[in-house]
Amino acid sequence: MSQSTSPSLAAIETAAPPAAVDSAGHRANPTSPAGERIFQHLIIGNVFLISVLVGFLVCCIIGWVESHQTPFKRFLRFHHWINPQTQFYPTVSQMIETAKLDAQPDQVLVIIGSDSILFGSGQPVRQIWTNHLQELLGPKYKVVVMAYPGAAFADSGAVVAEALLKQNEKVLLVSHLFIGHLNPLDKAAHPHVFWEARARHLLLDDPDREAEVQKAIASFSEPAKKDDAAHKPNADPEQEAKKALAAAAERGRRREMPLGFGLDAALRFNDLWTAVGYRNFFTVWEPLSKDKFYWARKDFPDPERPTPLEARNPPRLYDEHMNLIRQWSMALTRRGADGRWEEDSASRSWTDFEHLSRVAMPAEVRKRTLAVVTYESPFYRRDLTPDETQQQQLGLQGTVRRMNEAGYDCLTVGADFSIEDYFDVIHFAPSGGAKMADTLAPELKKLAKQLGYVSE
Amino acid sequence: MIFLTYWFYVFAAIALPAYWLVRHRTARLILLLVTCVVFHAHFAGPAGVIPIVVLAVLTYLIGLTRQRRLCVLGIAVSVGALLFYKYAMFLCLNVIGSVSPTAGQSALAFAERGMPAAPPLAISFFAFEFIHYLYDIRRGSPTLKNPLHFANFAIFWPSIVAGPIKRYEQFVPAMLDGAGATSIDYDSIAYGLFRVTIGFIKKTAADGLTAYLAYCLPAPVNAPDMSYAARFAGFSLPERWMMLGMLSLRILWDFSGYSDMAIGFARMMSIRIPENFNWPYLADSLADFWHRWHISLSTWIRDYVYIPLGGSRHGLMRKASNGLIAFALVGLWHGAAWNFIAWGVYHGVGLAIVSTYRAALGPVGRTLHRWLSVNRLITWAVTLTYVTFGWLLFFYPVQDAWRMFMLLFAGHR
Repeated sequence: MSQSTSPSLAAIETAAPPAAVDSAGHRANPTSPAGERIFQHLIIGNVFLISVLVGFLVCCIIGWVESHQTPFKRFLRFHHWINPQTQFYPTVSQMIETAKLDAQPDQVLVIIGSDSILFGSGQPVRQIWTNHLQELLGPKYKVVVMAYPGAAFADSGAVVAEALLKQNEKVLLVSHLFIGHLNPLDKAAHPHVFWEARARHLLLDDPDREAEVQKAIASFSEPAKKDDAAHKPNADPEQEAKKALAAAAERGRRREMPLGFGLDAALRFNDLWTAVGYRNFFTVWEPLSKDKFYWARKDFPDPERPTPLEARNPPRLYDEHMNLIRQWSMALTRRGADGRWEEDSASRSWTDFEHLSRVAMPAEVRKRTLAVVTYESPFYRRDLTPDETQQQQLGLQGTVRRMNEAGYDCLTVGADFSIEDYFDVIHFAPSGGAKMADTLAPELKKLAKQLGYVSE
Repeated sequence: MIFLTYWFYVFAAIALPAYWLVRHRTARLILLLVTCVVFHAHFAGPAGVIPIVVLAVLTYLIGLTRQRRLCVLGIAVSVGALLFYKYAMFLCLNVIGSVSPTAGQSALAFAERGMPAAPPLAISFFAFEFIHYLYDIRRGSPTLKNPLHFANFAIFWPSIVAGPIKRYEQFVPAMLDGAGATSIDYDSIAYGLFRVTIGFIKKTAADGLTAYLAYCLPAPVNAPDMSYAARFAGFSLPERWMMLGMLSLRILWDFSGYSDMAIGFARMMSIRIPENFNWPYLADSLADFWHRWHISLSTWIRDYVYIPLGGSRHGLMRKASNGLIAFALVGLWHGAAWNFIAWGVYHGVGLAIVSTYRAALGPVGRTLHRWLSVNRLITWAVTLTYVTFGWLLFFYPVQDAWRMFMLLFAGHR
């Protein structure tokens, strides 16, 4: 053994050299980078730290103020430039304040929730379907669009409606879902509204949903699993490794959500930056705004434009859309013993749907919700085979029945709409939107009367 | 990015004040170790922690023995761990696979049996620091006998994520100096916070550039019909040059932003760790660039690869080949792919030219050298141009990088 004693050992472990202290008492080291020397000669450490602390507290206070008012002026909807499609995430508190803005005390707030279909994709500002709905409902109601593309049935507007209900407002919710499909909590595309509201204690107590939340949190924390795709004969291991890394990063982001929104509930940094991004300047580059990414979002107009009929259903997308329509019903039906199509009630799709319909929102919100299932454009439906049409009908009927059993008021829209009423495969053109409003208005009035919001 | 997670904010908000609330040096070092363990365990998970703990314990115990053969064995184990966790797939598919694809696939399948879903966090940094420790001890440097000191050196949380690669003979005195402060060092905390802020701003800007470049030149996995070069060709000439400039800024801000944050967090505990970047784009020669860029890596490679290989001691050819090997390893350190090796070799070739032209070209070389030494603006521009072209190799597959380079001088869209 070549054990040797080293004279410098003691120097390393016991007698550390003291840092240089200059005449002003600063610990500026002559070997420090120039930036450090300048910093330490210009700045007094404790004054700097106190200034940072005070600045931080001021930001928190501004954030709190911003969470109790809406930054959105002349609000109509969370259009392209003020929704998550362009990295803009209005906070739930700002959404709630926006919904309440200019509302009269006795008005029934009709919150339009969910996705691009109720948002009115394809409907320019002056022709948005909710304008017609407001006309049909009259002054006792105030229609507020809280929908935005990509939001789920129980997200966005549904969360706002629940929070307003907790504040004892008269609330009705209109939300859209796809045939036989509801998103679990851990799979939502833009989950921030729900998690933000939960962290800020804006939601009603619902033990069933909370159990789902805990399951989702546990799933976020699951360790990475070995992806066996790398062993498949045609899989590229390097690409699979990159995909696994991306999946791990996404899991990491989801795992951070409860803690992040918990911190935000206390410090309100999201409200501050959303308000700054809307009023002053935006700090995140994203591809759609390109070289104008730093513009205040208030300076971007609602970009929805009318689309000529001939451009609405491009042939290159025909197969993709047809496959989509077929897939929606396929997992929900089976061929019975007599050779006819029937609901596959025992299928995983239906059992999941039944479960999710009950835990998506509390019973008090469900009974105030008009759930809307829409037909696709006849441009595509006319090409379905009789078998496929029958499958679709069974899927729609099963969806409506199960939603009604879960306590929602559910109906379908679009069965008798024409090709001209559609902007594309699923979204309504202004004429289709107006027809949807015609269908929903009486249902909403009936629901309001049932709930005792209005007398007639 | 670990330093930009909410968990880390909470961790730092607890760990840093707690560090200063404890006044006794040993207690402070114990607390520092606890925070390092919590940090590492959280971000690496059990599958990532266990190999590092095993390597660290082995390195520490071998260090205590001071036996030269055991040190070599320890170094071999660290190198083996690095090869296994970081380079197994590359070696199986691109090295063995280039000879026999079937053998490559079989080797990969065999390796994957013992491999976790993701490699242990920062395995390269750990391996390099352990190799440095054992190598220096083998050459007679002192051993860290105190396990607390060694453990803090091994998993010091600010430098786990992206370095700098520490040297224990610098780090341990700095750590003991910082931990020995009897009163709260407000100046260090303020400067550390300032550096963290600078790093944060750089990282935010780099992320914006990353998003922009990923949008302009998406990875073929998302757009398999279009290679990087084919996409690049779709831009105008000024746009291509602008994107090249963005690549250069992106890598600088991203990498030096991490280092700024690491240095800043360490300084918030009054611990100095070495600078890693020093205005590298102001370098007026390639050698100067490598004194300014990722300093802890380039000096590590110099001390533990280049000099042991013979350095510049055995003639021009040997010097050049040693440089090429060293820089190929610098490239490979950044990732397991051919383009990283090509990037390293590109710099190795550049340095070989820079360091040999004066002798190789005789009187012409000496005249050129004299002229260049008084025209520093030109040498700066040449260096910056050379380094900037190199980033194409760093970011893109070799064939794409070459075509993109040619497209920088082609007028057509």
